[in-house]
Amino acid sequence: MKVTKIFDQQYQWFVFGRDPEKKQGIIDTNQYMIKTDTRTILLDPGGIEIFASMLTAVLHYVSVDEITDLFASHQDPDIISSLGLWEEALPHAKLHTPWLWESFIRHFGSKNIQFAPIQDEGGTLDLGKAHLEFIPAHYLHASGNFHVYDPKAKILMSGDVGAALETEDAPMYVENFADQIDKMKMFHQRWMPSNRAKQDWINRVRELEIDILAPQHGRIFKGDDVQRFLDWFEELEVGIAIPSEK
Amino acid sequence: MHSSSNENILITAATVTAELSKVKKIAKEMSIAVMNAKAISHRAGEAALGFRPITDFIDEMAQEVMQLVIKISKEAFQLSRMAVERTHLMKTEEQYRRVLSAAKDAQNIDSLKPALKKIHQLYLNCQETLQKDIIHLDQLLDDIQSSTKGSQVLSTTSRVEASRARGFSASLEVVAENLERATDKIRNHVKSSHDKLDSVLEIMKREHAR
Repeated sequence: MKVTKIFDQQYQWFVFGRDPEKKQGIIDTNQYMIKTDTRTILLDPGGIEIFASMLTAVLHYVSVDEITDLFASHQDPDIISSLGLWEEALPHAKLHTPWLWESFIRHFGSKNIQFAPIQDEGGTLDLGKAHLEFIPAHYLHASGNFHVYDPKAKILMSGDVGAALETEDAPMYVENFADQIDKMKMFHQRWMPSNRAKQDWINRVRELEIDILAPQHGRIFKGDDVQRFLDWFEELEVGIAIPSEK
Repeated sequence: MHSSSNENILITAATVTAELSKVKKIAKEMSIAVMNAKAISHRAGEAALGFRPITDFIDEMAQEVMQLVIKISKEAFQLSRMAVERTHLMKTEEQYRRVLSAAKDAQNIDSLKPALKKIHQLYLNCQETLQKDIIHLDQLLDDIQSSTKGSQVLSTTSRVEASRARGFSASLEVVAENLERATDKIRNHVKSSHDKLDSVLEIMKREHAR
């Protein structure tokens, strides 16, 4: 699995993705990890199918005892179906996830892990040197959904927003925004159900200082591409698969 | 790893539950038939005196079988839960071993070893519990067979007693015939469950020996 450090100052952000051992037909995912000197959190740690590759990659940077927290932006299997496998090694970790999905996520073989449900209005998490904010992103695409904002690193982990359907050897960063549009358009139009929710999210996110927009699929946006993405997304009509309107 | 026996346990637990639900239905029907027989022998008066203790006995047997079926069904459900747990532990262990071999050069690889050891121990405990549970279930099935053991002798006796109940012998002979058929069916369903459990136990033992 490819590992890229996307922030490295008093603490680090890593992205894990492009797993060459992943079976065919399984969507490629980006998993993120924030490591401070006292705590480590895995953001959207991924599905069962990539668990072994992900843990193998993680162990190059932290021990299992250092992983104190998990975050699941929503309940999809590519986000957190590996939970039952992780929790055997992380008996003391907490899972931060929308309150709405707690009882659904428990279906992923979860027995012991402590849930830290995030209320609809969002929340914060103090990891020592890093201070994270859970930004509401409901209906983008799941009805209970959060993104993770790090004001110091100016990174927004944006879940499925900004996602693209890519080939397995795609670079980790967007190189040409215009070329990226074709890979993102259908994904956002089909997976995102609500124009109102989209606009509400854009209004809130425009108030944040963002250098890196890091989605769960596809490539990471940095610098001016972040604003380009927000402008493009604002114009895009979503929720298009209504049969009678086709 | 032992996925074949796991699938077998899951299927067997479901099959045993299904077989036992048929047994319960038959036992209920027996109980109703016995009530009918009691009414007939009451009407037959002294001519059917010999038939009455037989109906009491059969009624007792049907109640006992129904109680055992409820107990066994609960245990079969526990068995399938345990088999699911065993599958989870087996798959987790398999994944952790993959990581252990793939991340040999990772500086934090040793941190995974205590978790792997714990999972393996849990798997062994689960395996032991499963074997014990299957053996116990087998014994409970034996109890049903024992409860119905006297039924063949009983059906001969009831035919004899039925033939003595002048004017009512035809009705009581039908009752005796139905009871005989019902107990045969119960014994067959129970035997089939027994055989399935034994074959799972055999597979588990063979795998353990490997």
